[in-house]
Amino acid sequence: MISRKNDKAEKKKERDDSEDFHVEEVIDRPFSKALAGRLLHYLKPYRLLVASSIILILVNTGLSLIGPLLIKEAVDGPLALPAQGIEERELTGLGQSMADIGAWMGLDPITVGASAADRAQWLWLLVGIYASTLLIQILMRYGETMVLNLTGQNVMRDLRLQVFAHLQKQSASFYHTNPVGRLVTRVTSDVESLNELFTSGFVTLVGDVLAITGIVIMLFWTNSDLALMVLSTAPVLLISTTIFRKFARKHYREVRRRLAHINAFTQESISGMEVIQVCRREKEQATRYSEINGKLRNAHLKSIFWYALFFPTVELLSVVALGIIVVQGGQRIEAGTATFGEFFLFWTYLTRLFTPVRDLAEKYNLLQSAMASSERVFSVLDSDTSLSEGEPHSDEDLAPLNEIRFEGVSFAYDPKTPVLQNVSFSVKKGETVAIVGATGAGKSTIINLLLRFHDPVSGSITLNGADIRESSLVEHRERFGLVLQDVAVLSRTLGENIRFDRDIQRSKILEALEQVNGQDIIARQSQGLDEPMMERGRTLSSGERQLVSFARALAGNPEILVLDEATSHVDTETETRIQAAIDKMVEGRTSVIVAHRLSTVRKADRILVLHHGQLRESGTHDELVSQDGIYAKLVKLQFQSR
Amino acid sequence: MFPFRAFRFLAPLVREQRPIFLVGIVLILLTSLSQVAVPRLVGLAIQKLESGVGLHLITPIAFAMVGAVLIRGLTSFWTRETVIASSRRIEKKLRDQLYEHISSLDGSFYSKTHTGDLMSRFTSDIEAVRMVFGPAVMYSVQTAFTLIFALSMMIQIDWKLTLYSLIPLGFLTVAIRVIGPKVHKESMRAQEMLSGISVHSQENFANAPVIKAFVVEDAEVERMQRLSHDYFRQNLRIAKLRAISGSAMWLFGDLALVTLLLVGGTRILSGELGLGDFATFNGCQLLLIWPMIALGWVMNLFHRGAASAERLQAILDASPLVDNAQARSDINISEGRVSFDKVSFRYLESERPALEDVSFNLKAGGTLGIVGTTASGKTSLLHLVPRLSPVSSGKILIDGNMLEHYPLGELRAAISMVPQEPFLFSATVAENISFGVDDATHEEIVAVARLVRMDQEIEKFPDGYNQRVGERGITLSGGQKQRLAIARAILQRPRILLLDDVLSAVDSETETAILAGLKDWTRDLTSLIVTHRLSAVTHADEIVVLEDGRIVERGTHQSLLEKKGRYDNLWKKQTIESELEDLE
Repeated sequence: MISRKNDKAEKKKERDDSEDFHVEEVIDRPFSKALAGRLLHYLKPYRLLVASSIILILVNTGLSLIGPLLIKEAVDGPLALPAQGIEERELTGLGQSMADIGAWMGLDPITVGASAADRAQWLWLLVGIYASTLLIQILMRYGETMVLNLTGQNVMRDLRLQVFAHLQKQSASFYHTNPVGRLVTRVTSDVESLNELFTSGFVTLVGDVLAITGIVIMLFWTNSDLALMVLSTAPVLLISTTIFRKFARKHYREVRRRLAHINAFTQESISGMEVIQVCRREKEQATRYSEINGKLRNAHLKSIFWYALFFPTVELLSVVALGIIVVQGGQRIEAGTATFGEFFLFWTYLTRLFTPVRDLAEKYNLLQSAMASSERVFSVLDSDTSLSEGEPHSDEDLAPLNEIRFEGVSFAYDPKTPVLQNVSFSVKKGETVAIVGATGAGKSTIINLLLRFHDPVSGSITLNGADIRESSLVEHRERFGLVLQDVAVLSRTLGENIRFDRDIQRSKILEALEQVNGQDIIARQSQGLDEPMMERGRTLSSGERQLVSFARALAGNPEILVLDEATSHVDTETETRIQAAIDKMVEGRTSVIVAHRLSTVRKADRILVLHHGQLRESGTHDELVSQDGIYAKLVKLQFQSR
Repeated sequence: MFPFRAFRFLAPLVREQRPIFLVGIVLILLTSLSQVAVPRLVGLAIQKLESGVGLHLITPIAFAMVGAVLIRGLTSFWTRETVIASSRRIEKKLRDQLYEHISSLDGSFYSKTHTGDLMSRFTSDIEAVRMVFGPAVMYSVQTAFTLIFALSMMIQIDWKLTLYSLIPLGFLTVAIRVIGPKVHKESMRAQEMLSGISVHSQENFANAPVIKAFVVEDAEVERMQRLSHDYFRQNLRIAKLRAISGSAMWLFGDLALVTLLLVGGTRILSGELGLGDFATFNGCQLLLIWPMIALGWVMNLFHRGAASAERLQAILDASPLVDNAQARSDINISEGRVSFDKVSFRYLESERPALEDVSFNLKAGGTLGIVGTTASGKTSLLHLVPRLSPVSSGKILIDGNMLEHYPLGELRAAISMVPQEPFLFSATVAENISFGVDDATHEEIVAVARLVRMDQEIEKFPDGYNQRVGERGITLSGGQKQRLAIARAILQRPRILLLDDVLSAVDSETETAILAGLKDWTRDLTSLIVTHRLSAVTHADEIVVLEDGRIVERGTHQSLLEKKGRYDNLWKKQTIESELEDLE
């Protein structure tokens, strides 16, 4: 009884551990100079765009500083009370330029006794200038956003194509060790988050820093005394921003982790719903779901706390600064060392100062997750498993196939478990060679080596006497037409699935379909050859899929046909059609067939019997039957069963 | 104006949060009040300075400002902690509810629902609804209060000036309201294009050998180039809309200031407006910029959320066709006799029946072999027994009672099924095996593992039975997955076992041994075995050959061979492979 209880406690603990979910990928990375340097490299082709975006940002930042200045001029100029004694005002900078512009336009300078009409004219002038800077600004801002996006999108496209093209060059063993889903993520979402970095990261970061700098300079330039007082709140802001950044990042990470967990769980439940229902685990699963969901909610609630705290803190600091302006500014106005205009200027600038400061904290998170993405993308680009190859020949030099020869070929993915051991055979022009053997005997490995998806661990494969490692990969593979057991039907049209990106005319496609007796497949599609195929060719029957893959192989008119006969059963009629198609295809063509049906094997010029990675028997049907070995036993069994 | 009706089904969830929402509204009220106090106080300070009267009040005014913001800070902190937190709680409950609901739905729902679509109900749709109850509620209430307070203060000072400065701010709302949905629409298109890129990559990587064999890598890159370029242009289209709305925000926000400067300035000149009131106006306008932007944004959130809510409701409204309506409590499954009486089955959306007029009688402890070509109805037949899908016509009887008379739980407790694609959860080996059983001991788990000839392989895993499988664990071979799935099924000690071509990746010798072992594990186990490998059912009591949903041949192995029909033909065509295995 007690031990049972312990068992349960043990199990409970186990379960908690298993719930401690691990996200496979690192979500963020601190800023790294090396990574950033590598990213900057991608901006090189777009130097002009980057330069113009920087110019636009500079101009925009500059223009956005003008508005508050104009308000100050208005308040201190035309709107000032007559008692203020404006003629005593020292004209500096903009004030002087305004006076010059006014003079040029024939306006009298504003003095104590200036008439309302004069003042109104001045007001109109200031408003006019303000409005025109606004008009310029919208154009410039529009330009800025477009240029930034153009840069980001260009870089993203370049990087995506680079990663994709790089992956095309990798050997088959690379795909063996890297899950497809992970590679897809590299090409899609990882590249995507880098775009964020370029459009709203790097460059706007510059914009924010510029805006802050500009405002601080203007404050000091207008009234350095008051500016110093106001900016005394800056250190507090800086500290609270840093604290916020730290906690926000922690919770952001937690939320992402929990979100990944719940999405994985949901996905799994949907796919496994049959099993859940037949096992009557709906309640238990729902309880676990609710737990995971609760953890996600708690992570959200915690992060709400920090955001809820941060925004009011920034706000509070900005109003403390405003309070300082009211008190200190007020005293100075009384003392005549500051004006109402300056008061307005400080106030307006202040509201504009706090936005970029707040943005900076949030952009830091963005930067970090982009760093992690770039690290992942670069690690794909840095791993290179492409095979070495020889120089391509000129067309005339490329000799037609004479003979392919395996000499003492061994292969293993893992040294402890050999897949092929010391296999030797040859295929001569025009011959049909059938390979038979049980699952795992090494049949498909022979195909992989033949097409050079892998290189042998020892031994060599020669074509016309030359090692295939020394010829060009393209030239070597172009000699073959491959049909695999699992037919790759891609989501494009039927015709494109047969053409398969090669330069083949429509008439040749139809011809190839005819050769494999597959014309009626076209007839069954409402759009004929242009019928779009569903994922994995769901709308075709398995027999039709095989015929499509036959046609695909034949359309390229290959020198050597390599065929892995499908094992799955189709109805009798289709079966006969497929058999007939295979017979037609191999006729007069060098072929290597991994065979599963005796009828296919019998017609072969040579039969290779593989067993546990070794070539045990080789010869024609008659020769092997008389040898009284594995093959002979097999044939006997087949006869018995009839 | 707002499609509130779409959210009605969420009323029970919202009701629970109602007190909190009410507190939230009071808090927002206080937030808005204290927010509007600031420009008023600034204006007051300037008035004092301008007139030179009551200068001693300046410092108290400054402190009052800071005090107001302190209140505002506290209230807005609590607003987020109440309203936004409530929205997260609603989100959680809604997600739980949705999950629980889909767990009750049967094959009639799943056969017409894509996993991807259902996933997006759980992710983006729930988030869109959450945004309505969180930020949308918070900002709409806040905007309303701020507008009321700021406007009443502004109108008090000068109603004409208020009107003038409101015009550019109104444009701000309209601009966001017009451009927002466009951005959303174009973003959805961009999302589709991105998934096109994703599909292309996925198909390319998954079919790497074929791509390489046909030497079409360059063409594949070109295809990617085209997809990327379309996506590039679509993104620029979105950027353009964003650039327009961004500039509009900037323009209208500042245009309000320009208007104030001109109209307000003119009024100062004519002596109708004091500098202090001018300042109050200025401050109110600065306060109103964000709410006016939020107004447009919030309207978009409501519309997007309503569309999502409708999609969620459609799923919550879907009711399972399989239920306990006819269940009786006085019967239970003791023997495991199964009979089909003229059973037909048709998927909801399909015209052609998947099964037609299927009848057979299977005695307790008997074995039925089911063979036939792809899509001949074999899997559909198995799915009917545990009522994963409902029968369209005809009767299925277990121990002489109608299937529908058994409570669903009782029925499924007596039945184990191993689906064609063995499904493993990303959990440990032991958890996967004991998935259907509440308190399996380690010994039992090891025993069933031995039965499916997996025990030695499991012990070789780095973590043995605690080895995690799937994405974050080790990758199992097809045969290993199949055997684990069988172990899970038999640990439940069912009366009736359904096997859907489950040993295709295991050699035939092991298959025979496993099938023989099953009979020893549970005496008189009734089994329905779908298989492509005829050797697995040669000893079956009856074998049925299905074609297009109908039984076209039936009998024992021997009698079927003698018929020299389809079964005999299939038998002859059995692959060389399995016989090669039999040789040694």
